[in-house]
Amino acid sequence: MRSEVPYAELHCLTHFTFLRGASHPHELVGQAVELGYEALAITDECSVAGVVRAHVAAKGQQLKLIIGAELHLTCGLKLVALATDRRGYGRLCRLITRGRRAAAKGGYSLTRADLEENGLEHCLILWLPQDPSSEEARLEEARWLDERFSDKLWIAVELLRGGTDREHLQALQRIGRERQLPLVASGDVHMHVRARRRLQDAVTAIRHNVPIWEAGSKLYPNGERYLRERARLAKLYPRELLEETVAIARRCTFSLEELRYEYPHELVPPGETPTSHLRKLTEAGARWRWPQGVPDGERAAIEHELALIADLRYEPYFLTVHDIVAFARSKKILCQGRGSAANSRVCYCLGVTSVDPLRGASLLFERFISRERNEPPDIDIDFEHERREEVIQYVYEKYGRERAAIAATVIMYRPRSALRDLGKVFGLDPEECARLTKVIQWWDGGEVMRERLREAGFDPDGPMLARLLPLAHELVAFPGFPRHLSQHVGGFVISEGALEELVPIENATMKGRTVVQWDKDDLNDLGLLKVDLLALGMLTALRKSFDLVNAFRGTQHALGGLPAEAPEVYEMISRADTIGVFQIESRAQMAMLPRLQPRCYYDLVIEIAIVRPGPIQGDMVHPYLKRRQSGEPMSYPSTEVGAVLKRTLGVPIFQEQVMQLAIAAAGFTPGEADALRRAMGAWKRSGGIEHFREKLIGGMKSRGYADEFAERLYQQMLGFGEYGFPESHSASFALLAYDSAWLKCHEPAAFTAALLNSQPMGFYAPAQLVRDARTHGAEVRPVDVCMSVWDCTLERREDGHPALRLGLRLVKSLSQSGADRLIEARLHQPFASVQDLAARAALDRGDLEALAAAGAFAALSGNRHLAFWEVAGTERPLPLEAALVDTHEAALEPTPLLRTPTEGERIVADYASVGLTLGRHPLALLRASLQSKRLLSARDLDGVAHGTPVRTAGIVLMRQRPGTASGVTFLTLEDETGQVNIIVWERIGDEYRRALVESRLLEVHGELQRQEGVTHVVAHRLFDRSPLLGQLITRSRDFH
Amino acid sequence: MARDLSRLLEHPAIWRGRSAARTRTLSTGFPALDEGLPGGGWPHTGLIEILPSCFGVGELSLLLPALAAMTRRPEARWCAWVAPPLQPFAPALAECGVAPERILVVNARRKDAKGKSALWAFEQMLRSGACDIALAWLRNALPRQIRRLHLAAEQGATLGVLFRPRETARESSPAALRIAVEPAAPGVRVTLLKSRGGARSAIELPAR
Amino acid sequence: MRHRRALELPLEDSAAAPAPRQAPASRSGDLLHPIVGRADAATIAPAELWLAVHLASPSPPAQQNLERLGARAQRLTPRVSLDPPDSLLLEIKGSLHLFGGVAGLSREMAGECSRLQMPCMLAVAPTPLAALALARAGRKLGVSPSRTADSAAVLTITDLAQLVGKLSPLPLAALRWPQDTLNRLARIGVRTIGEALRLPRAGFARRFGTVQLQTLDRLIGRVSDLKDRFEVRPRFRRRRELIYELESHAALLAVLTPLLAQLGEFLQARQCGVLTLECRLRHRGIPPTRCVLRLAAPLADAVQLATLLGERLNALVLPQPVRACELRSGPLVSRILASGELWQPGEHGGGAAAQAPELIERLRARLGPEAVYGLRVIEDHRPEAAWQVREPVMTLPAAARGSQNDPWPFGHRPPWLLPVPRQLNERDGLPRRRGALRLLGEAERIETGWWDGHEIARDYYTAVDARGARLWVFRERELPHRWFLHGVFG
Repeated sequence: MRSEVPYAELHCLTHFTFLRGASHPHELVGQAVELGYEALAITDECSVAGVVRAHVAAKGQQLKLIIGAELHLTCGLKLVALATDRRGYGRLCRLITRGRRAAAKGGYSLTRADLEENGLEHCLILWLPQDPSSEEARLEEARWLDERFSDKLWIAVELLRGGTDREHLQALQRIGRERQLPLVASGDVHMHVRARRRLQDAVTAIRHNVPIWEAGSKLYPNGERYLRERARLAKLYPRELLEETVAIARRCTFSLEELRYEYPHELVPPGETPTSHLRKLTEAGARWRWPQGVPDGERAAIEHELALIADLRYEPYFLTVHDIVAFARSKKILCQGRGSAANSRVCYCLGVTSVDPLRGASLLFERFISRERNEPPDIDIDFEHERREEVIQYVYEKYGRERAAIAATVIMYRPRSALRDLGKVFGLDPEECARLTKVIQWWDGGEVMRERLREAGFDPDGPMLARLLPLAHELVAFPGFPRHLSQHVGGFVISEGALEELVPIENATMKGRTVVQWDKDDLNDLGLLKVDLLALGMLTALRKSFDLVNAFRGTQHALGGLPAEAPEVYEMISRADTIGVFQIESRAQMAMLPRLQPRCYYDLVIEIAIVRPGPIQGDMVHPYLKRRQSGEPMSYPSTEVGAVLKRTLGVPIFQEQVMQLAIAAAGFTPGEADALRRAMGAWKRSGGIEHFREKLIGGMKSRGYADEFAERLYQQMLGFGEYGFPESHSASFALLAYDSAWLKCHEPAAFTAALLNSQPMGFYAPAQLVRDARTHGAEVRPVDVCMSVWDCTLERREDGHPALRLGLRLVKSLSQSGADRLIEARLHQPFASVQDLAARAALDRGDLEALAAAGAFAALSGNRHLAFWEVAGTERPLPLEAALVDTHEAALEPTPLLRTPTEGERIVADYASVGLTLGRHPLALLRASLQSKRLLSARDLDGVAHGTPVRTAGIVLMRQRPGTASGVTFLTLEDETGQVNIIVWERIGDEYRRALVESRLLEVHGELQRQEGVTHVVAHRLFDRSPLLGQLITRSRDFH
Repeated sequence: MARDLSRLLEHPAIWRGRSAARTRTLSTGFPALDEGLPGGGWPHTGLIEILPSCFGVGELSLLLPALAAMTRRPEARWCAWVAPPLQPFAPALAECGVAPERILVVNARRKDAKGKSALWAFEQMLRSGACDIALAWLRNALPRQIRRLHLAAEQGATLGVLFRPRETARESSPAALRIAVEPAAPGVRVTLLKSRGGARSAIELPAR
Repeated sequence: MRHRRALELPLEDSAAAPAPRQAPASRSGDLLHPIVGRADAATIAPAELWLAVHLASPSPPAQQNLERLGARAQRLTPRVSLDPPDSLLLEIKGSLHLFGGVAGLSREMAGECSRLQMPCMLAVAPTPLAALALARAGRKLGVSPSRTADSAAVLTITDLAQLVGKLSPLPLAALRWPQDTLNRLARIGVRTIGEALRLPRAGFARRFGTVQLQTLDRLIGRVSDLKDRFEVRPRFRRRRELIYELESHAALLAVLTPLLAQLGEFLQARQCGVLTLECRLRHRGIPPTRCVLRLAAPLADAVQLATLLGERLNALVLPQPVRACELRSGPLVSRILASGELWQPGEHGGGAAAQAPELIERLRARLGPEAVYGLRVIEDHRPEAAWQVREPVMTLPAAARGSQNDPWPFGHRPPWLLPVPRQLNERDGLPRRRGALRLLGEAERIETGWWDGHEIARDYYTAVDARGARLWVFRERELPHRWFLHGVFG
């Protein structure tokens, strides 16, 4: 067996050569190991996006991993470049960056000049000769390459049973002799096993956007492009060509392990070291945070943290974060850090977070930056969503594009995209594709339901689907098949040296953005460091709230500076009166609030983390509530366990606690605990948690814990899965939840105005926000061209209280520039008429119609019909002529007798333009007919006893189908008296699927259930009553 | 003026009559064969016969370069295949440079006694003037029929190529050119059985 | 005259939405129709009376069917206009007395529609547009389309004085204005014809266009409405009864020749040709024999048609002697228009090529249409799927593929393909045909086609048999690894 020819595959694509390669890097690595290859080169086309995964897979295997890339020059020349060492790798990354930056997203463009300029030093070149028909072109390529890369150039011979392998080999041997070039075997590998053939064909057709039967010569004639057995290769290739592969492989010594990351240095002023500078900043911050002097315990903790940071040399990271936060603060952009390292004393002092260590959350710093694990600290910073771009541009400017870029997100095939793309491959027309993808709407699971397929007019057993569905499964099966690279929401990589020598940078879709070819996990796996700059709508809303309140009342409210722990705020929260409040406004949260009855900050931290799929599936909610209500003292199996679980009454709720338990009770090292956390995230799809089970349960038993305790803990961990929520994030979120609740409680008009001014964000549409504000006594005034500015504002009422004036921003399809001109013109002089307004603000027809549709001309022209008549009659003057237009003539025109719009028409028009109505709720108009059908209103339901069969109807505000709630759909219906919560079990949902998914006005027959202050209707039958609404536009927000 | 006239006369659609001293020809694509043929190539009009020792020895390949050249002309007419014994395989023909767009296949009825309809169709093709070249595979053709075909071909300014079994070499034929083809490893041997002005000799055409 | 079936419209002025009170003259300007709402005692007989036929099927009928209906309607009145896609207009004032008034004439029209199985809505009014609007709005007025002559309900306005009042409640959509215009009118609360008529003329024109203003003027007869008269596009159809029963093909052709000559004249006169020609041969007691000629290009020449038909008849087996024959043309096609499709000028040599379509027709007539075809290359690695038959229409060749300058043009693929691979005997794992085959060269592996149920997995070889013929053979990759012959290098 050992006499077999040794072989190294030097030309192998992964599926990171998008829609060309058909195997995962780890599959290729695994197969190469299996076949006894000596080395495997990952040579994706102008990309290294798959190398980290291959690197991780090859760790500890008897296989050398080589990194390279396949490159197609614009002139037609094709080659593979392999990095021999760190410098070669850097050159290659630089060349890839060059090609990628020169083309639109997803493409690249490289010329011979690029190659010459780069030189590809410390790389080996395999020439892939093309087009056998033109000998001259080949010779010319060989000559050109030979002149530049002679001593590191090979002719790659790829024999793929095309029928002319022998001729091909002979032709290349001739060229080799002529130019004194060595030949080497390679396989043009696209897949790890032949069985991937169909998928490779299918993705090829997707890439070319043709049905598979038209793909023709774009497909490969056979399935030879896989990792072939060495015995097979020995039959095809001369032995020396195979031996040459190994010789080449031995010259490539580069490993990703060698990548060193260096932090940017410029944040340290001259004369300081990073350590001294961080200490200085921290101490200054401590004086700011604790003006009365730093408490002793905190002082010690700060010293400890600083020592740890210094030890791991993470100062530049903290300095980087501090610098970004300081910039935001200087621009008055609200921001807040979260994540393990963010909730540290150091970050509190640096102003990265406002989580006050004394305010209840235990800080977990050391458990996340540990000496043992070589893992960078984790800080996410949230910024106001409307202003995050300023921060991003600051980073680009400060470090330059060659040193800062955003991490990639690998977009994987989801069931929907897989079906859509494959549908096209199998020749479905767009309408059929839409029907097919609709089949899986709401059903995100792996199996596409046969019933649904039949319902949609497809034969699940027909030959087309019999071929399509297995491919779809292959595309979506864990860990997913990548489709393209996109940009991460905000993960920035910043380096000391040129980033492009570390990882190639390419263009993102968004103009002015560049992304690296690795995603978050890749960066993590290599120990590279990133800062997450995220956008958060609530920060925008909070800043706007503070601005409005401070301007109206002359106060100085600021983030984290509101009166703490106000009981009336917690009372409001406990009533589940939380529409608009950060994080606790969802349906599920609202259901939990009356049961949990939060009374302090830490209760909010728990509330935010407990209503998550993890704790719910791990069955932690009920035990926690029970213990909270009974108030009996807990006993813990050991003091270590007690220390971990005490703050959550013995029930693990946070992700950190699971890891701490593994350390405290089962003797895991922190590194093992972290590996456990990752395995938990993926176990459902890929398994791989079993070996932790033995270690966990074994570890606990050996430490004297009861079998039953160990087993339960293990089950809870499984339940956590990937959905466990970190306490460090929850603690930061709870601050924002409290601040927003305080504002809602004390300043409903300002808070609502700010929310409206920050749309789109949150769970609720403007209609619900405004309705809620009005039920809390806020006066809301309509959009008016004589009063409104762009944003919603506060007007002072006679009694001194604020009234909310809706802003022009709510007017659908009104341009902001038009609105600006309008406001400008109004400052000069109030408008006399629509003509006057149109002329002086130089508004175009579109803007005028938008305003008329919104009813914003009421003060000038009366009802909408009249407004539209007037608008339709305005000639659009050129801006310069505006002043010259004789509005006189138009004013002489007779006003026709137009019908006054009915109430129904008004409501329809309100919804259509502004998205909300200040008039009656649309259902109020339908009440009589609903009553005649014996349908109860939300208020009627309040008086109905638990267990009563009921019928109700309402506008569908929201549909939620949590991935973990075993097929249950939660609906919220709204009528003029309030909201009704509906629960639709899977069976009913399937039966009445169309009504469930498509209704705007839904009639529900079911049973009323009331538990612990939460009322809902369990649906038995559903009917779509949308036609009753006429053209009323309501949009439900659907969440999956 | 004179040049214009000569150019006009070169037009393949113009029949210049048998009396023309020099028949215009088309290179076969095989220099050795061109040398042996009268006029240095295939005639432009009239009927020729190709008699392979066995179907599939390379008789069709003899014509392929000429077919490629003929069908690629912008003013090309049809290239007709009458009663072909198997399916002409378009991709292979295209690979050899023949334009598939110019190929017209005419299948005659199989059960038709004595190949009557094939003969009729072939004559129609030759006479119509719609074809540059018409190939036909006929087992039975009487000398008078062949004469008729030849006249039709001249009338239509078309080159007719009749493939017949080698045995028929014994029969007399009014065709202008008769060629026997047999395998000769690694190529074919072409024997000119009858040619006006050409030598009766064997020409070896080697494979690559 | 009492209109028994005609339905008086249930439209009263009071039915129109909020009564439009006349604005003070100084403010009102020139309204589109200021007299709306004023009850007018006098009856005014209109100069014209129009019957609108609205075909109420869910999808609009084919133009062809509309034309058929138009042709039939011409028996009721010479003034017929088509209003595609789905309506027909008849000026009937002059014909009323011939068909028993509005009711009788409408019944006739409804009868024509029902014979063509087209449900219709009928309306009569003094202006064409008013009649159309009424017919189109009929369903909204609670009248369902009639399917038979007797069930025909007709919405009728015969009094000019009542015209505006009765049109008023109709939705503006009945005028088929652009949706955008209708939307803009809806935004000022104007949805019916009456509401639109109450708007000031100048203001209306400025906002919604003079075209729309003219429509309204034509609607209420303020200006006259000229309609293009419809003319029937004919087809040729002649029949000839025979005195003797004929069996001979030649005699048949002789009988048909004068008919063909007539057809030729018919076509020449109209500058048209035919693409299909049907010849029906009637027998005693059994269904006629049909012989259909389908042409690649429109033809008008009687002699050419006779030749083609002759070829076709020759191939025909007559079940019985023929007693009568009939010639029916398909739709007439302009020869100038259609001729371009086949022969691009300058694409072929000499005048000879002009005969090519005729040649192909002649061959097809005798050998059957499927016997004459062109070839197309399909991009597919599977040999059997790599080509297709196509219509023998000359098109410009694609750029040359492959290498033309190869000294010996044995490509990798043979110029001959077997329609179905033929299994070969084998001995010692090698294929045989007329003795053992010698395999040349190496295998070409083709394995593809999984997507359409014709997946193949084969290793192809070139082989030479004992007589020197070069064959294209393959061995299945799957068990039992059989050998097949698939092509011949000729």
